[in-house]
Amino acid sequence: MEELVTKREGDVLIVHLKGRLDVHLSLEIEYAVNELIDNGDINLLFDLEKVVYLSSSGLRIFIAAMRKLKDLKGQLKLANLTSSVKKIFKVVELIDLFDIYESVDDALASFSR
Amino acid sequence: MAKFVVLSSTENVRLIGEKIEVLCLEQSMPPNIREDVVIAVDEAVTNIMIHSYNGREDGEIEITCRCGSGELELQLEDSGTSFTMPRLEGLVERKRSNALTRGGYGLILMHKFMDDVSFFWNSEKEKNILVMKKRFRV
Repeated sequence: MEELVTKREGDVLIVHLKGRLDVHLSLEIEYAVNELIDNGDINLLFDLEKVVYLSSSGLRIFIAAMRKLKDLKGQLKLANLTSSVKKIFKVVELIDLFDIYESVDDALASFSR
Repeated sequence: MAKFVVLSSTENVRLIGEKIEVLCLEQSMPPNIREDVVIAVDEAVTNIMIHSYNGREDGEIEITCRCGSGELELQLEDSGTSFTMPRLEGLVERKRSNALTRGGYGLILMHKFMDDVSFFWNSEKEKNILVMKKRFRV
């Protein structure tokens, strides 16, 4: 799946997403992220630099992962949100529920180990 | 006035967004307002595809756009299952008490990004009809 590429940094899995996260693509990505968590990755960092569009279907990827990781005592962080992606999180009042960072490096440094 | 009909396949969400964006551009709508309208329409057609047509990909969605005096009106019609649209106040309240619920964010975005959203079942046409309006300054 070219819209989702992962890279490991210690015990953190960086998930680089790209493209339009609308209903057409999001369900597939949600399944793929679920699989990552089921396979033992509980520290996830989503890099959204190349996400050009986010609808509520795309939001559900992060909500579903967050719910799952909460139960597993894992961590989820988001980095590199464009202004239009950030706007969606703000409008639905989810901005404070997620750990959001300006860069992947900042997000990586914030993981408690 | 512009009118087009698309099938309820999720592949068409992008196409619909692109068409709406062009219409907004033709009206010289500011970029931030254009972005809001595209998202609201995306959420509306996604709801139709998932809830009204229950994932069927051969249902018709008719979209009519009218524009004049700084107002864009979009009317979306479908012949799927009739459903009731929850009120915005209730949705926002529910989200505040349990923020990580999965559904309902699309409706919140539609209401927040558009100035008017109304939804009804037309028993004569046997269609769900959604009307969304956005006022803007050029």
